[in-house]
Amino acid sequence: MLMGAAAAGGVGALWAFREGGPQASVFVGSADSYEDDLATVVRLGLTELGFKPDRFEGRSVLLKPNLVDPVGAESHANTHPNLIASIVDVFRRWGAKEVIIGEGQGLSRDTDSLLETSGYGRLFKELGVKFVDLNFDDVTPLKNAANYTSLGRFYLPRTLVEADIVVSVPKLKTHHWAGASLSAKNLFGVLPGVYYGWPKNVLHWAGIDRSILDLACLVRPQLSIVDGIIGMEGDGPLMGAPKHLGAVVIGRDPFSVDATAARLMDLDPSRLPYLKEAAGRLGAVAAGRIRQVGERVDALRSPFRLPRNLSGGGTLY
Amino acid sequence: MSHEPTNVLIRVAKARSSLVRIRRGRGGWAYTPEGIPSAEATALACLGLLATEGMQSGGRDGGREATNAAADWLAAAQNPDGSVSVHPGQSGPGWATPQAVVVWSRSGRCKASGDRALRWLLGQKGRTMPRAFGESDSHDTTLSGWSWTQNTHSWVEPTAWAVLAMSCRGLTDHPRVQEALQLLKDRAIKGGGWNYGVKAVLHQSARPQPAPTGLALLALAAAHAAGRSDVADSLSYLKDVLPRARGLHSLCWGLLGLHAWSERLESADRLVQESYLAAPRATESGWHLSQLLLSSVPDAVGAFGLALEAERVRCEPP
Repeated sequence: MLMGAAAAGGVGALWAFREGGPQASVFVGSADSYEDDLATVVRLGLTELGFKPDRFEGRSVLLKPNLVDPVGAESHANTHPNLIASIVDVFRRWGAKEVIIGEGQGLSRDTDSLLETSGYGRLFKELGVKFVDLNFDDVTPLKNAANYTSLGRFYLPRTLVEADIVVSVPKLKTHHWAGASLSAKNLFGVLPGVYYGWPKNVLHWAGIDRSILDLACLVRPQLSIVDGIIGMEGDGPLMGAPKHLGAVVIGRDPFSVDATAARLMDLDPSRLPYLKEAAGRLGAVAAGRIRQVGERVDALRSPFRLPRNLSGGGTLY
Repeated sequence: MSHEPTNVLIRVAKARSSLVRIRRGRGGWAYTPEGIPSAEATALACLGLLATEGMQSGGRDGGREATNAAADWLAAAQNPDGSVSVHPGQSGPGWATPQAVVVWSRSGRCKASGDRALRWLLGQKGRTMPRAFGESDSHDTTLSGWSWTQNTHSWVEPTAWAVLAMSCRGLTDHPRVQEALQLLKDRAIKGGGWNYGVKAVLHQSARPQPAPTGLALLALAAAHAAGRSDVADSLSYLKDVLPRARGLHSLCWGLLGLHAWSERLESADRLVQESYLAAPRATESGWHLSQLLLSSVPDAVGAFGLALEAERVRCEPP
């Protein structure tokens, strides 16, 4: 079992705590393709979860998508630009003062190339939205409160610390070490490469699952929106195959969102060590603790082929 | 006297002028227009200014003064243990330390700081581990170079920079450098090129990247550690990929890698100009301006202590 201060010290759940353990609501929306009206799906999801425009009015919002080293023009490793554009549209219409996109890609220092080949550069120009390369941002050191790892502090980018609302917008993917790359794992990309390297190796040595927990507890995104329209199965998070799922998963509690996304992948959340640890301590993971709205998980569930070495094997550098 | 085309001279003059202007009162240069000065952006700006010093238009443009002041600022912010932090004067990893060493060496300043930095550098070692069974196509994890942060694995870029720094200081024969060169060669991807430092993932060849490839080639050249036949595939990779590269960072280091081996790309000038113009707010960014300078002239490899000859590279002592 992964032990950390959050569990041992009784910090308790970070999200809604009810007698008997945390509870949370998660919305599952259906979208067959990226050409669908994704803004409506996102707006519906936020509304179903109880969000109203005044939550975003006058506030700065940081969207953190999953952008990795360019793998091709039709990359299924990246959060799709159309979903990002839709989210930007919703928040702007709801009066957000500013919507910023931020990412600190882990395997390449050339963000200009990534923006060009991923289509994001063109998108940002069209939308007039600011992109911040978090890898090179100034930092604020913050104490590691959860202490699942031995890392005493994390250096968070100024852009994230100063944002009023942080939204994790991951791509739904398998991951050959963590099992799945979802909202919580997506937060690795907020850490500046100038403090953590390319790759952010120190997190691997500290323990990937422990690092996921520490970061999720520290960053505490107020919202997660998972791009599961076309996800990745097999040898994710970079070398897997595209898999159509047709889902957008939205929620406040990243652990609940990830647990729901895992179920959509026909993956038992307890097989993901970080979710197993988070269950009942940091967030709502058990199905009985999650109020499911929108589409039924059973209606969209589709088995994702897992990485070949999910049960172990291979070298983690 | 430079024989570069007029548009390159104009571009270099403007970039130099911008660099000098945006540094004023800040000690060094930053990654972004709003950012605080960083060791790397400062080091690269210094090297870019040094590399293009002979191309100053008209009278002196303040580039040397700015370089000297920035080199002194790096020395003043050096940590007691000899490292230079990412943001000098603040806590943080010291992977930019070799870049400061190269600047001090090439500018002829702060020798004592350079000595202390080298002692720190020699005390840093990338973490090793036994090779896993069945992973002979992956890199040799028992070799040690330099890492991004303490107690983590060795990677191409920090290792290449350490080799450059040691080479500038005449330490090519040091056992740590020899092992680092072995590591760099080991991390080369089948078919040519390097990436951040992984050559195969789950028995599939990883993809090379222009910037790490260029940096590795620069390091191998500086240390006389390879012959042309050893790097032919990587040079071919760069000549193939750079015409399609979009980012200035990839172009800069890819071109430096080619230049270190006396290779040129005909379309280099146009590519550099286009990528610079495409980068948002590049005219206010030390990171972009420095790499624009370094990629604008083949002679820039001199900034790293290398001199081009017809078929060989010679390391000039500081």
